[in-house]
Amino acid sequence: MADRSLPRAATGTRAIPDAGCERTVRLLFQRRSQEMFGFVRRLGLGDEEASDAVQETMLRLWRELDSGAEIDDPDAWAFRTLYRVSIDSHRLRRRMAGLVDRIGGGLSAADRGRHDGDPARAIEVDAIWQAVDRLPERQRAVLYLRYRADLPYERIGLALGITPSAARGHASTGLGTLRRRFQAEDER
Amino acid sequence: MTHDEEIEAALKSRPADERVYDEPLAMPAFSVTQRVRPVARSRARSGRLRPLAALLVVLVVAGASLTFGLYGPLHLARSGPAGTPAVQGTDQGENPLSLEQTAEASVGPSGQIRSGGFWAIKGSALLVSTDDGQTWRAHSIPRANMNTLVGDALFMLDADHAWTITDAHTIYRTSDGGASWAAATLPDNCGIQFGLSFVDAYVGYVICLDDYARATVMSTDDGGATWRVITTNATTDSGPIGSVMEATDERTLWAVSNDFDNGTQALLAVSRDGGATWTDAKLPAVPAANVRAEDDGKPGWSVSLPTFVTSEQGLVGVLDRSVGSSGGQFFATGDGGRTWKEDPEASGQNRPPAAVLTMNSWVAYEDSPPQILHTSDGGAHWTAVSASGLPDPANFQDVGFVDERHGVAEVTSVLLVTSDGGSTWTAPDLTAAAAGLVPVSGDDEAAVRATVEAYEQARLAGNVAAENAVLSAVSQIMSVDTPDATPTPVPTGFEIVSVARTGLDLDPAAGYENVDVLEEADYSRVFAVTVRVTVVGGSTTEEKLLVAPLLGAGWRIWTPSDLTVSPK
Repeated sequence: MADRSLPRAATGTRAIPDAGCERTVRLLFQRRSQEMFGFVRRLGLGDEEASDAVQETMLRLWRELDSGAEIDDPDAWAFRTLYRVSIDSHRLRRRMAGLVDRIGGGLSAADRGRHDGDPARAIEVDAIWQAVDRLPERQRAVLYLRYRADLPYERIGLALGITPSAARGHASTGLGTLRRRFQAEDER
Repeated sequence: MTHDEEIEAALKSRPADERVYDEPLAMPAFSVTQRVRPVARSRARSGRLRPLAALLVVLVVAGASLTFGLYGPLHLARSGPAGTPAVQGTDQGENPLSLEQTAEASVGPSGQIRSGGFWAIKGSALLVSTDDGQTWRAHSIPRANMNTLVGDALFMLDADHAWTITDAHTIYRTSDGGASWAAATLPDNCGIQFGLSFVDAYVGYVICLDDYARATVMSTDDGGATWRVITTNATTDSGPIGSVMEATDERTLWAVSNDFDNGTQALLAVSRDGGATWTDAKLPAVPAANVRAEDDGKPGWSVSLPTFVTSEQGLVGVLDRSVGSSGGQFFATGDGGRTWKEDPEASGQNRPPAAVLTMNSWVAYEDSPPQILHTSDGGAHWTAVSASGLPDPANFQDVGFVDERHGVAEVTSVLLVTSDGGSTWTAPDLTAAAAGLVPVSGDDEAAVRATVEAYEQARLAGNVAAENAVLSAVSQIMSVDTPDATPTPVPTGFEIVSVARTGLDLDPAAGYENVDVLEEADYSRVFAVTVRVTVVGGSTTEEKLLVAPLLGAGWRIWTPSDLTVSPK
């Protein structure tokens, strides 16, 4: 997967010139909005709430840059902000409802059996993501950022406020659970 | 392709329930530094103003904090900060439950004790300070069924009395500062949106909203041991009440609704008969100039719970969320909230207070640059104090002051205290607090094992009442494990192939000795873990039930002699 990250500045230097705030925000949005949207969807937000969260994060980013704040890694900053937005406990009820709907609702007929263009793929994409939805929140977040957003563990750590090794541990734990579930299905 | 490769390949693909995101970027047509408050984006799509578009707010209690987010709405938490799940921010690679291992004292939610002082939650420990944050003591706290519940669900009246809701039916109470907790069952399903408030050690209220925003009010007069339903559909002529609530005396309750998703509108409601009947508090009308441009028929403002500095004197904030708005309005009362009058000094200024010390002395904060601000004239003039000692980046999640000098802040999930009005902040030393956590002794082993097994049986049988009874017992006998406990490795020759714990699957390969798993396990509401171990030995496979104390630095198998199967 191509790296769609914005260039990061060396530590201690400004990533973005003052005049480029809006451009930076728009560039990040252009490159990352899909993953940002999907990230908070995985964390349980509904479509509209996820969309709002993305827009709100962009506003916050602009505000930060415009105020002169140094943001060395805008991608990680954006995902970190999104994560905090998504875990706002005031939205818990709606988050849980969204997650329950996704887990319990199953897939539409059109979606069922989707292999992302590869009919030979044994494990269905959507089955995997439905299994991901059943993982603890941190594992869901790490798996999404690692595989869909293609972030290395160092930057996932920045995004989630955890150490890289912790991020790697969450991914390992989540993958292990997925592996066992699909092995068990194979054996049936 | 191996299983792992297939899984990883699938994870790189967009799931069907994630639609293609093709919405345009909605940017306000003004400089952000003008400090106007843009609505996050056009509401043309939905025609509704969703709270999600807004950064939030927290609030107040007597002598406590009133915090407004930049964009509103004033969705108010109880005595603590909102927006921080119970275990959030503890993952710095250290065991989140081992207090002395963390230099930064990172915490989950924190807040002010009603009678003065501060509380914070770190892992499964409730930290309490009654000396302006200088020293802390710790006890365990019953954990919520869902990890995000406990922060909003904790009400701390004083250093001894606290209550916490852990699931839809269960409320725990302590009268010894958290050393022991007792569970009670709520008579109505409390869902996951609720508020709780106590006026003293005996009289308290809970308001729960169901999926249709109908509010059930419940009360207790015996400290939370028994509860009764007051009404199942609390509403006013202006609409249903919200769950964010505050009881200011035995009969007077205030509740706020800013939940636009449910078709309601910003409403400050008051009951003066113990929650049976409610009326709109009828704040003075918001000036027409502040009605937002994209009017969809609902008000462009949100309302806070009132902050009473005396039984009669109080403030309430109304934050305008309109495009181009310059701030909020503040209304004052001198008759216990029966009448409200706009406070001209405060209204219109763009700096909502984080702490209301008196009617005129407030404390506020800003993130960029990080600083604390004081006013002694009700917001007419502010004095900024540059803050040092904050983490970078500094993101104030909550700020509380008991007077003009002493305060506590949760900044980027780090617990900090100040004694000079916010100029310097330091992380408190929690080492002494850890001493208050009682290790599980060997004598407890049999009780722990029996209790946890009973819990597991109750859980498997779907017996919620039995589960709750066991959990109550668990909280009585277990606290935090010895911090120097070392993880017990899987015995040589054995392979753990499955681990189950209170409904959460854990990966044995990565997790058995993994501190990350401990953190995940912290989501649990029990204080011990049952580990089902399928031991592969030779040609036989046998399942054993092991018990490991979860809290502390590592796992410890209580009965390793159970592993009697021959090595594979």
